[in-house]
Amino acid sequence: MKNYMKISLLLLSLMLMLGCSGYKPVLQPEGPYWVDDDKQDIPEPSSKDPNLAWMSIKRSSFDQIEDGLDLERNFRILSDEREEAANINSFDEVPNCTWFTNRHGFARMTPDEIAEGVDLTPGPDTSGPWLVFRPKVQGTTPGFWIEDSRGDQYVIKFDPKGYPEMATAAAAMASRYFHACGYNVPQETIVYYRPEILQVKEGVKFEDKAGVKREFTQQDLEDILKRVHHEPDGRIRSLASLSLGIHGKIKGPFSYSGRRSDDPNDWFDHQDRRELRGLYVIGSFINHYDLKDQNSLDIYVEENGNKFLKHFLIDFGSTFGSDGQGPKPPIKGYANMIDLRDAFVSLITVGLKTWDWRGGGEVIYPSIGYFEADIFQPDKFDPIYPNPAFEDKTDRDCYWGAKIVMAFRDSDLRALIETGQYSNPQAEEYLFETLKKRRDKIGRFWFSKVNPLDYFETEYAGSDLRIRFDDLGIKYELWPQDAVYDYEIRYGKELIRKDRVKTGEIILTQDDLNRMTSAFKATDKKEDYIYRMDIRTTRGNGDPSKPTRLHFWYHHDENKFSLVGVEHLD
Amino acid sequence: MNRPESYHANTVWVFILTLVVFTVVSVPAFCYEIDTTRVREKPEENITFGEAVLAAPSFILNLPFWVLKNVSDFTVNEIVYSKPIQALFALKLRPIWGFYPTGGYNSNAGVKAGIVYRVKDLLSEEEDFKVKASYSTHDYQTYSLRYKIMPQNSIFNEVHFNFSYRQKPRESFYGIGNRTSDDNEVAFNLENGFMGFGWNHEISSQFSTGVDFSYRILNIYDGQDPSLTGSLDSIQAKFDLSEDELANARVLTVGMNLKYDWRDHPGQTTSGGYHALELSYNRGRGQLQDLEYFLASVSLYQFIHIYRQRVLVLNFRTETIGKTDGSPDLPFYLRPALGGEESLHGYKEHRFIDNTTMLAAVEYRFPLLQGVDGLLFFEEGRVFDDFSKDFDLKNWHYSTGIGIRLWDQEGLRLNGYAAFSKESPQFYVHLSETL
Repeated sequence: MKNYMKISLLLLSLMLMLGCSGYKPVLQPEGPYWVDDDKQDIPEPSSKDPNLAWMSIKRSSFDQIEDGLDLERNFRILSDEREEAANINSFDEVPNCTWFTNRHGFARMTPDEIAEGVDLTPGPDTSGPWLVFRPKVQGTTPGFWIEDSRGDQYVIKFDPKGYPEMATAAAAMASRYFHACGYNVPQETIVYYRPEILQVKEGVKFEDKAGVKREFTQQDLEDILKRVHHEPDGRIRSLASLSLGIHGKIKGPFSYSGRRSDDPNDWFDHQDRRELRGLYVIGSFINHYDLKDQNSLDIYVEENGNKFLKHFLIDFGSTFGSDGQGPKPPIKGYANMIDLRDAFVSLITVGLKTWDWRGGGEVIYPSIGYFEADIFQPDKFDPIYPNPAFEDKTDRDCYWGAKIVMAFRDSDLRALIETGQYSNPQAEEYLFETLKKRRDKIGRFWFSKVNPLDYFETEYAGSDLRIRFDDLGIKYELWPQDAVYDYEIRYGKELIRKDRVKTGEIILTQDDLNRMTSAFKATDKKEDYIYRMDIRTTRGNGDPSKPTRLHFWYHHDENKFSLVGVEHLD
Repeated sequence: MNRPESYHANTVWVFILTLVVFTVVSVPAFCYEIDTTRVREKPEENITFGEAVLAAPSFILNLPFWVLKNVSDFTVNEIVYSKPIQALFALKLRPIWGFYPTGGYNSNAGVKAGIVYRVKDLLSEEEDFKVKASYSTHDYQTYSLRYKIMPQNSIFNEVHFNFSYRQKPRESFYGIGNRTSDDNEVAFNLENGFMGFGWNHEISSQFSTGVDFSYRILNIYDGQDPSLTGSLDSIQAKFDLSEDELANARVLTVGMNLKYDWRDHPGQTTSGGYHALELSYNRGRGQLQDLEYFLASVSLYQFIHIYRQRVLVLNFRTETIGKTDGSPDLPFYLRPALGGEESLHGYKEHRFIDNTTMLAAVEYRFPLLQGVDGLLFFEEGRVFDDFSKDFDLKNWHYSTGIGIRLWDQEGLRLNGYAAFSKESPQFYVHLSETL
């Protein structure tokens, strides 16, 4: 008897654990929400400045142990029931908010729009003078803050010696890429200028290499410039990053976990935000290894009389083949800095298990650094240290990210690459081919995890209801066009219609719709009700996919159906 | 009905045009439209019964991490600005300039703590001056001073002066020879004063040589380990030692060394090798003024890259002394030894002592993390009274174990070993540059 009690208690606990799902979008007759009202006026939050070393240790070890002890999370992982993102709408999308704005993955931008990126100023005025008001002399790549003749402030960064164009091009391209994806980013401009336009502002203090605080002189500036690459005509190429202070007050980085206690607009735990989870795939495309808390920024902005926090991604010097101070070492993007999981595998196999990146990597073009597509595996991307949002990602989050990556077609990629202002066309071509390969790998991998039917459209044609959709696997030429789509419509548990189509269009005739409504009327309910359509795709001789589930709302008064929900079940 | 051919052609064109129009118009249109009037308010957080039930144990489980997270946040931020601690967190222990603490532990000395003062540029820009003082819970004492100058454009690439005084009251001794037993462990107290100077010259980037002169004052006293026999009389009787083998010594030494180093990355070598030969002539003063002996040591390392940073390290080392005719017996503490951190890790320090030592070791290193390697090793070693007569391949002592190495681009930062033999297991953690 006691055993029965124990088993019952265990089952009850399991049911409790698995039964409690997180936030689920509510289906509404008007369709999904497309904007989050998270721009409410709030009191000025405090500034944060987490310690890099501590965050690295915390994310790599303490968080890992904590996750290991999280019973609910582990039961979910074991039962393949991970919690879906909390901030999605009923179309499996992210509403526009202070974190994210739907752009290229949603409604195509033109290549010119992608290349334009953030365009608040035309970049620093290279006719000069530039007033240096804060130097950065530590580290292998120096830099400084300037104020141009228009009074705009920029951070000026350089390419590491021996790798001209590498870091500046990477940052310029990445900022435009993330902007097109929908994130808030700083304006990054590549500039060429003559060193004579630089002037040191009077009274600027700095700590020199010996740790002595003293006045920054013209000689110190010249010493910095000696360490950077000069063009044959004497000009210097730099990345000018428009100071984010232009937007408002800087409040330190956001965390990829939890919420800010001093921000009432912070509705969802950050690890549960779709746009942060999906950043795993979006970042993997350009090998943004440095996706850590410190490379983000909360800014207290003012819009329409309301003051609130806006959330930015910053510092893209370690994207593509660049590691900022040199080419990316082969490990970066393929393992965490302290990858305890890989270390454990190495330990128990005494080094017999190896990873492809350990074979080393070749820098073919110094202006590109180390960037490849052959050993890249979309699900094996690892940032500098474990990122809580990435740790909790689901296949649906990754599908969402992949959908955005796949939206970058060849012409978009070429437009992005052009913003890197490479002098070597062969390097450009190499980068283009590598990006194409990585993009298609991402598409093939993540699109196979769910049924990639998307961009649903419904319209009444006479008395018929036409449902059109894109099979993204075919649209992006990832798979042959021999797919068939089996669908079934249910009202509650009752099967109303089941059929197969060979194109991305399903037509529900008046007879079908009558059957649907009569099923509803039979229940004698007065309120509106929801119908479910599951579509499964079969490619070639393969097995049917998991379903993409559509929810139709029956508007009783109008006797009409409208699409109110889309789920890509994983 | 016969249709003209153009009809078929037109049908094809209409179909193609329809397809093109459909593709051009419909593909961009297949995106959802953002209805900006559909605004979501802050959602209510409904905690399910299950979540409420789980919140309690989750809170309890997370409590230590909450404490750790919040307390540590504060602690790290506060102390990280102290330069030695900052360096420690960054795993950059060398070189630290100025005052910094030093410490350690071993079973003989107990817990050691001390302070180091290290300064560059004492008189010029090419110097490294270091003073160290430490004391341990078992009264081990170290006071040392090192002055190193690295003149540029000189045949002497490094000139160094060293002065030190060490007191080691609980050193272990097991007898002389290869067949000693750890059950016979006794303790003695060794006082060691040292002064020396020398210089090194780099013949090429891989080949270097050096010369050293030193004078050592070594006094032996009764050991102070309360759990072990410590009186020198008892030790003499127990191991049948001669007066000379337990005598105090004053030794003048002149030595030279040759080093051939072709490792690819010293500190984290994946291929290449390191060969060192050291020879010294030693002459006794005072009580053992007839003492006269040569000491030769050879150390050969070969690093073989197997694949993808898996490295096999082969090591052979031998050290031997040769007395001149008429020289008295060498005090046991001056003889070559095996055991401890430098050789035959599975045995205690100086576990085997005699006139010649020989060690062969193989180590397999494999990467665990970026900058962290795991390792497996196997060593065999033996001591000989008279190498030319006694050499055989029997009775070699083996030691095996696992270890870890932490390194960065500048070299090795930390290594740790767990070593096993027929005797008690030994554990080492060391912050230093090793091969």
